[in-house]
Amino acid sequence: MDTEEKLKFFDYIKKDTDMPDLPKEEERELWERIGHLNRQSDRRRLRRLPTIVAAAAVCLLLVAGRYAFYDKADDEVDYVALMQETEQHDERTADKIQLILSDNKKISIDGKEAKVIYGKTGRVSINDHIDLEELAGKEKEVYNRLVVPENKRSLITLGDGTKLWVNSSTRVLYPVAFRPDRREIYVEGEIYLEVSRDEARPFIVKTGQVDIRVLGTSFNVSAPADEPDLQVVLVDGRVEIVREGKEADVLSPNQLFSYNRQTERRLISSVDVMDYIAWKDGYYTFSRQFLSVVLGKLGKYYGVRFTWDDRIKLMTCSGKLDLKDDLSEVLKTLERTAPIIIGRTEENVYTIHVKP
Amino acid sequence: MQKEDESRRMWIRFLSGDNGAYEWLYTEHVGPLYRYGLHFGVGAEGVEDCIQEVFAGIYRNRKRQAVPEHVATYLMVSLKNCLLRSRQRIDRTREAETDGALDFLLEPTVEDTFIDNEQEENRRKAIEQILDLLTPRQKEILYYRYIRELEMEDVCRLMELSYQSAQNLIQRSLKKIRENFKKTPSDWV
Repeated sequence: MDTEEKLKFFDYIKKDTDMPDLPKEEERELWERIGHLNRQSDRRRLRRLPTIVAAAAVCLLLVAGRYAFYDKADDEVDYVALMQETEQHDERTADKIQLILSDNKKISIDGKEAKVIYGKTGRVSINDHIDLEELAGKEKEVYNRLVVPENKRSLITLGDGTKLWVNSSTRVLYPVAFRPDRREIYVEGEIYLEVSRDEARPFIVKTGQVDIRVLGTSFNVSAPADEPDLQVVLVDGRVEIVREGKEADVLSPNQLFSYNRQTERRLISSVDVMDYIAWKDGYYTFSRQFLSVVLGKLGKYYGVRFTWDDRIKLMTCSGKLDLKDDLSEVLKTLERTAPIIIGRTEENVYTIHVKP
Repeated sequence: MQKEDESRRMWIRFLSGDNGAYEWLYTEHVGPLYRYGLHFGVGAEGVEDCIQEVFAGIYRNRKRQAVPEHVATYLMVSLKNCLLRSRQRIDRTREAETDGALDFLLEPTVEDTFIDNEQEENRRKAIEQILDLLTPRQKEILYYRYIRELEMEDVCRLMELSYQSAQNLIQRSLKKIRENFKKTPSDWV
């Protein structure tokens, strides 16, 4: 049977699209039944918890003598839950930078960059003109969240003087005023920090599975919510990377810590830090970086996707790309520096070929 | 394939405890899964029960789950396994002498505008006759490969066959169609 005939025969068979749909109300009903089952299994899990906690306590006792353990405080904040509880329905899809205040009020900020500054007393200024008061809670921390979509960036100055550059496709959650014993923020995405020194209050960047602990230093954290890869690059000072139940990793300046949150593989290597932090000044520099890595970063920044053939994978390139340029300008620069041709196949999808 | 990429991203978020991502996975996949399940001839209710089991199952086991290589196929395999298990339960209670295998339904298309057309009716009958000659597994594999147009890798997973055995089964099925396709009047193709 040749291909032509084969296709013809199958053309006469009912496609799934001709099959009856699951009616919308039954789809909802089914979803509720699933939710009911899930709540049951959650309850069963909770009932099992005491034994797990007991076992964990024993392990802790066994190892406490050997490692200086980062003791898990009982007043630990569940940031993932906090994010979920307060998430607004259009938060991830909006194309403006959004500041979400403690009362869940949302401020949308126009432009490609937002500058948000917190005063010591809870005064907030946005792009030097909007002023508002966020009252720091006496009993409980009060949180704000900055959501930066694709193709945008922001700079936050926190009450303690710490500066936070926030890259595109990133959400940061932080208290309006830090607690007396430690400074904690939570991030999904990429930030660069210049932490002001405070020996009495360590600064901790939480990312879900990994905590980065510092006293005062500059470093870059990349922990996208939808990818397993986490990277920390240290510019100066010292950071400790803490994973639950594991001995902490200590980074020295110019070192990159890369970690796969799924496989739990980690690697520390020496790098040119500018390759990792130049984005905060609006450009990317690359020295002998894999083209696939460069394209990955550009895709995230401009909110587009690239496909390439395997020969591109091992190509490296060096140079500097100005992120203030339009994507088309950036791609033209790339085409000039590497032997590649970039074509556009559909809206937001680009295909890269090696020049023949 | 963009949908598959999105599904993988959502699956990672779901594993880290994001219930919004879990709901996204359900909403995105429930329709195609339902229509796929109907092919096994167990009725709408049986399919819905198994979809419930599949989604409650991935939630129950999310702490020890990995991200599947191909989300859509993974869900299809899970649904099929569930349908197979419930079929075996039914057979046991009825003490039926079956091997617990599932039928696989394929039907000719019916164009509403031609419903009274004799030629159309002949075409439909001829296709039906050819389909009747195929075993359930032959129909199933042809469905994956030529109607859903899945990659061989996914076809093998769904059929639990090695690449070579899957190829053989496809070739045998196509041969059967070819032999009978020739015998039928050519005016309907």
